[in-house]
Amino acid sequence: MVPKQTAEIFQILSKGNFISSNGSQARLHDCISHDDNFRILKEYFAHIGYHLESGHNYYYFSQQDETNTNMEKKLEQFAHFIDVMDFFSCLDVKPVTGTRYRVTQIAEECFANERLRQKIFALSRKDKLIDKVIEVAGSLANGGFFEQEDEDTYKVMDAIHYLETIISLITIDDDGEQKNS
Amino acid sequence: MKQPLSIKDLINLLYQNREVIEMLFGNKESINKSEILAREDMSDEKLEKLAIYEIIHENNNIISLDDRIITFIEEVLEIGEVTTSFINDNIQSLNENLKYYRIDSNPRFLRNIKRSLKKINSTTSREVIKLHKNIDEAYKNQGNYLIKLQELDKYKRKRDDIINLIKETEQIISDAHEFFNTIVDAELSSIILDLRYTLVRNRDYLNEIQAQIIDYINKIQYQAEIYRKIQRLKELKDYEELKYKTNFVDVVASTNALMFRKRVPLKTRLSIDFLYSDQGTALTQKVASKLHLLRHTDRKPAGRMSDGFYETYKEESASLNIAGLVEKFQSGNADLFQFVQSYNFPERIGELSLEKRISLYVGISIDYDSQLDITDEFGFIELTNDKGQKQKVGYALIKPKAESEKQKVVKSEKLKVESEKDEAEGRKLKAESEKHKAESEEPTAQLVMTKGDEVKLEDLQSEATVRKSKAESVKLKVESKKSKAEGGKLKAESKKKKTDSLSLEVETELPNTITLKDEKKKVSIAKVKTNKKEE
Repeated sequence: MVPKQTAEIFQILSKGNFISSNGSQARLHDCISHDDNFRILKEYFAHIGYHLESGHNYYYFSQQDETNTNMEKKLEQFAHFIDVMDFFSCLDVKPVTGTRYRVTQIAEECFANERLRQKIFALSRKDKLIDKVIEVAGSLANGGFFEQEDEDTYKVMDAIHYLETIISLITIDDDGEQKNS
Repeated sequence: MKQPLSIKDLINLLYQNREVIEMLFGNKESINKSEILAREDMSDEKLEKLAIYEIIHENNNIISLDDRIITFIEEVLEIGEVTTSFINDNIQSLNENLKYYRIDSNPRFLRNIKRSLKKINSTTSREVIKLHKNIDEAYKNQGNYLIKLQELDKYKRKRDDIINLIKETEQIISDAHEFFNTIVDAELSSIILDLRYTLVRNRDYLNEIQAQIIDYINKIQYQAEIYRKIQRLKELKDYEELKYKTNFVDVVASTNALMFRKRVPLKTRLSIDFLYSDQGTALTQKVASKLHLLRHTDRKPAGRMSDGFYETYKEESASLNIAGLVEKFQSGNADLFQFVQSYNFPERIGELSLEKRISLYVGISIDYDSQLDITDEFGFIELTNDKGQKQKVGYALIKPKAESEKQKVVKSEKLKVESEKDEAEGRKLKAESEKHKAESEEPTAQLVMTKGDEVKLEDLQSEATVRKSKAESVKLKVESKKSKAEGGKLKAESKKKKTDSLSLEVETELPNTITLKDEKKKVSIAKVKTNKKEE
């Protein structure tokens, strides 16, 4: 028997979103991780071509077939995520699961830090600094990596591990250049 | 002023101020005095009383609950921060009491031992559960990652402490094993058994927690690595080297997550079955009214039809009145074939071909044969077939019958005889069915006999025999009717031949009440009559 929340789960995952354990859909996360449900749902969705995948405290869908136009889009998107993640990882507070970012606080930090300022200017064309931050955080929220808790606050979801995993998969050729460590 | 409190007094005092205490417990260290006093259920007097008994403390206008009360509530409700000191205290008291009991077997010490063991049991489980919850909480929701690391480290130490305490407890129990065996107390042994089980379970659980903490800490440290990497990647990207110095393209290509897909919204169609349902109808009505499609739903009746409407569309068809034709033929004296050939049909029917006239001749000779006198003489006509050959074709001469009225009578008589035959057959059936009935009743009667009800049996049997005889009489009747019918038939035949109307009487309906003998007589008379006629 598939759980009764299956339709709700499908609604979220089929849009390319994530279900994280520390977000507002924690209920659905618990439902999937309960007992045998993960296995049941994985098999269930596999029939219609969606692969339910699990990461560290988060779930998402993947699909196998691939076209070239898609590929290009993916590269672009991911390059954008590198920019955004770079920006957040340069902040004083790192984007780890559970981190809460206040837009005003980030804007304040950008205001004081020239390097951050440049980064955020490259990321958004909005006029005000605060709007820029909202746009950048919003793009992560759309991907399901952040969740907006109220007007000013964004919380980092478990799904951020997904980006981290991909980044860790990338190997940089050792070309003798000085590492940033 | 301050009097010693009894348990009753204390509980009453707490109960009277339960709302305030609940609030104070909920907001530790942040309640203003004025805020408390603003409450309806609080007064200066009451507050003072609480302060005197040291249930609350006042410091710079900030009111807080006494630590003992907080600890009491936390301990009873099993909430609050993880402290290993509880377990530690219990172990110490257990050790002490064991020592005392060895010296002096006072049941008081035994009671203390039992209490300590029980407490160790419950607190250990509680601590482990709390620890697990806190670790999860710290990892998932602590914002700052440095604090998160330190918190997790703290929990790791705490976990080590608990493990050590468990080991210590196990050691004490196994050391005192011999000693416990000397004490005959069912409760004690069950407590020890329970405790052992709990300790083993919690140790397993703590091992798991240990793994989890290490995993979390590794993750956080690994994340720090990731941030450095992200920044390096960004640097490469800015130099446009990302695609060449890394395997970025390959890695992204191998990810299949749906989030990188162009979103294809699922399109579904309206269910037609749904539109047929009541709900669907209501919905379509709503949409239609929105789109103003319902303007013509109240249609008016159409106007009057024009007067000549029916006449213009009237169709005429002509057909032959064959019955009329035959009547005309009866009045004449020509033979049927010649009559049909030479008859002038009305103009509307048009000229009939020879084939049609021949088929008319054949049709009439079949349908109206009773009114025709078909002779065995032949007439001949000359015909030219489609091959141009001349043929001589013969036809039977058919003349009209002179006395058609008598024939009608014969016919009606025939019908009568037939109907009587039917009746006779109906009676036969009835008789048969009655016979069946009687037969079927016989076995039931026998059944009754087996039951031993003799009187009833006799009755039934007699009834059955009566029915049987009745059926037989009916049969006879039927037979007589049959013979009568035969007689009638014969008569009819004879009449047909001789056109004699003498015995019409016989055919007037015989009343149903006629007795058997009468009928027989009549039949014999009829037979005699027919015999005479034949002679």
